[in-house]
Amino acid sequence: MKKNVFSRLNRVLMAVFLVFCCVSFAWAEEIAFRVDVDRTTVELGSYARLTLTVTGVEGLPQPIELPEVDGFESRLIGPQTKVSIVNGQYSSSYALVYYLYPTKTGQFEIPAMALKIKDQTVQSNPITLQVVSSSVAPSAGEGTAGGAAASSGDSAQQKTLQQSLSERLFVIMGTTKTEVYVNERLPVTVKLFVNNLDIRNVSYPQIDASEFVLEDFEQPLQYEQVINGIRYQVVEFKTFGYAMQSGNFELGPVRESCQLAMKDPNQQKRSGAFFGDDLFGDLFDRNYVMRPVTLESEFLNIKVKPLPDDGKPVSFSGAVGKFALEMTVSPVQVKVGDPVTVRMTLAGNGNMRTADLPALKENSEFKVYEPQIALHGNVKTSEQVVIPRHDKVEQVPSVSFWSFNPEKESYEQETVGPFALEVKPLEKGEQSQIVGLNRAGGFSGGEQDKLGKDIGFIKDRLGPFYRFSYRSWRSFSFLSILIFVVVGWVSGCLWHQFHAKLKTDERFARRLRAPHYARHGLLTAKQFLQQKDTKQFYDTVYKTIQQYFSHKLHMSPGDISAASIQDYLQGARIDAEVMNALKRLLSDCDAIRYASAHFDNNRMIQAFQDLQYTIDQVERKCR
Amino acid sequence: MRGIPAFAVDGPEALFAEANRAYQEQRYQEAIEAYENILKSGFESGAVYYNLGNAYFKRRELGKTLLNYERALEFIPRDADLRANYDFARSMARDVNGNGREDFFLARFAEQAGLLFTRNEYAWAGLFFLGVLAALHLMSIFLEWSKRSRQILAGVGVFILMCYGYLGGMHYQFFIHRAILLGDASALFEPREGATTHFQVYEGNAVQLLKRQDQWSKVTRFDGKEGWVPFDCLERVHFNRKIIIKK
Repeated sequence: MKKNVFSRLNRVLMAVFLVFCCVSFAWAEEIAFRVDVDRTTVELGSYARLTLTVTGVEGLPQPIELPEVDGFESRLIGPQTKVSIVNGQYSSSYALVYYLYPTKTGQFEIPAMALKIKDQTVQSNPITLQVVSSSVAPSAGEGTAGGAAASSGDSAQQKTLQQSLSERLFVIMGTTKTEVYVNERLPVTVKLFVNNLDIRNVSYPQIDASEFVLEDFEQPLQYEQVINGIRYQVVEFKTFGYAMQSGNFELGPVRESCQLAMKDPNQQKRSGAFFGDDLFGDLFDRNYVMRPVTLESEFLNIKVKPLPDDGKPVSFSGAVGKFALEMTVSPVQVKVGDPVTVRMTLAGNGNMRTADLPALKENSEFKVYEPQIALHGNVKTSEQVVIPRHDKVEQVPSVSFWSFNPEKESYEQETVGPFALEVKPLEKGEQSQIVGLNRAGGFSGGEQDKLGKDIGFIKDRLGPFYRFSYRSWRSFSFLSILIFVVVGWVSGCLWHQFHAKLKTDERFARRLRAPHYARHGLLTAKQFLQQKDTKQFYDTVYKTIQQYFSHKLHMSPGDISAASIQDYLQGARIDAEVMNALKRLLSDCDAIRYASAHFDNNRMIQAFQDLQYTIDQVERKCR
Repeated sequence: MRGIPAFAVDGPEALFAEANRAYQEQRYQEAIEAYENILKSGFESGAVYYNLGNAYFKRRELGKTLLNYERALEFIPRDADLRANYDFARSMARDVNGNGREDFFLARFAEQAGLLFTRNEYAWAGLFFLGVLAALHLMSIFLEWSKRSRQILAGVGVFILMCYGYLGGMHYQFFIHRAILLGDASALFEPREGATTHFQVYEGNAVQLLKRQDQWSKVTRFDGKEGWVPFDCLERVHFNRKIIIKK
């Protein structure tokens, strides 16, 4: 408990100490006075922005007054206070911003100013400003391309204008070394300076470097920098190069492409005539035209020295710089045939692509596999699997890496290892994890190269076999089932269609039932004929004719008459004999039913035969 | 034993056992002759083609190996050993694309789908689907299913028909015109000696046979290139069908 209280107290005290240090540092910050302008060339009718900045103070004990500047009228815009803490660095500044309006053309100087703060006098830098005629000068904030935009005007003004653009937009290439060894890392910095111009689509720099290998550029930095009193926006690109051979070479020049946004004069003309500036034009870049600009820097002279032959080791692979090699081995307790992973990490400030990591070689103690190598920035890693061949192995041997240190101008060796390894023998009956490794250790002769690469064994059972011409779809069983399925399907469909018609088509159904009634009537009539019951016989005959034809003609039984039947039979081209037989039958029936006539048995037989004949003929010819 | 008379049964099995014995004793040439004798006797089976492919492999005859493995695929297409050996042998052939292995995943799927079943299985499966379709159709009309149900049934029927047709088509396409190169050869622009070489084909490569003229065969490679190669340097996979080649 007490310990916890003391621990917290310690932390609080530490925090207070850190805050105190920061504040002290802020108080101790150096006081400086700086004057800068946003441009050094101003046209008549425009203005330049001038900033007086005092750093190291939070407020001014006395107001700063801008002295009278010949050729300019000044107007105070307002003060600015800036306080920042970056990485624990505290800084503060106080600034006054003025607009300077030129009153005449010529070259004018803003003299150095003195300021007394805390018994300390600080002095600003003088600045020279050029005022040119507004007909040729790039207007402030419009980002014109200087001389390129001016197609008229005298040559002196044109020259001034060109200088103006080159002062406001330029690229510089630099390095911290001018003498390097072959394959030594050469830092290269490219800075793009922009002063109050609208620059877009800045591409990565292109460097002419036929004798050098350059790495990809890092993510560019952006910051502000004041040079000779002019404030610039700076885009800084960094990379590293490596010379491929010795000699004196030129690095560069560097080319930087970007686009300069310029106000479209046509658009201004169109929109400005009535409503002034297009409100939405600026928002959607309609009022601007993009002009591609390619900037070029000076080149650098680099002297590349060859690597010394004295003391160059045999295993030196060309790595130049400062490197650190690490190595791990896992697991450290294994059985014969178990894989052991050896990991190496090489980090340094040289050309990692040409730095070869050491690897373990195959020998009587280890079987080794090809290492897997990966490069991540300035770190190169490798993973190599090694397999101890026998239980006498006690360590993974050491490895060495040679490099040339350009600072010391000598070759250096990094050695790691050896690492202790405990290898146990395989137990009785236990199989090695590695195919082909026998229990005694070592691989079984020439089979080593064929591990896991061979065909499976033959089949010992013949399985089903067929005649060459055998096809299952030609077999009796297949064809029988196929026919059964097809016939069944078609039959089912037809049967369903037939019954559907019976249900929906009454005429068809009655026509189909007519023979049934006829057969039934004939049987009944035959019975009465055998009983010699004349009345019942003719009644039955009449009903049979009536029912049969009413179904056949799809009429009600009451509508059946000799005339209607005759019409139907004539239409069906039935023989006249049939019609006569039918007439005889109907006449006999009427005679019995209404006149109580008496016919002998022969006439009844004749009537029965006529009925049979009539129905038979109608069925044959009127289907 | 379907379609085989009883008196012939002992013959192939005895020959098969004899051939296997030769193989195990590493008398591969004798094993090859014994397996070929089974085929000459008029019988074929997946196991015979598979073992024959193995024997040719041991003799380092890659073309014959792949030829017999592909013939075995017609009988035992889902056999894991066969698939493993076949893939391994294919990987040893030069110009792997020439073995018909498609790069497009749908084409690969089609090739694999076509090799899922044997031709007899396709026939019986077709019959089965026909019976099921007939039964469902009759049920739909007798039980008076709703119009929607019948539409679904028709859709399912059409889908099954398309799948069946597609798989069957792939199977047919794989085997019917396919031939395997038995040695390296130059495919020429014209069927004559001394003609300009169009492209090279290698032992074990698969080609599609287009036509035959005298001692030359017109073949098309996996990438669609066509050329003439000597007839005796390749062999059709589906050799026992009386179709295709027009002399």
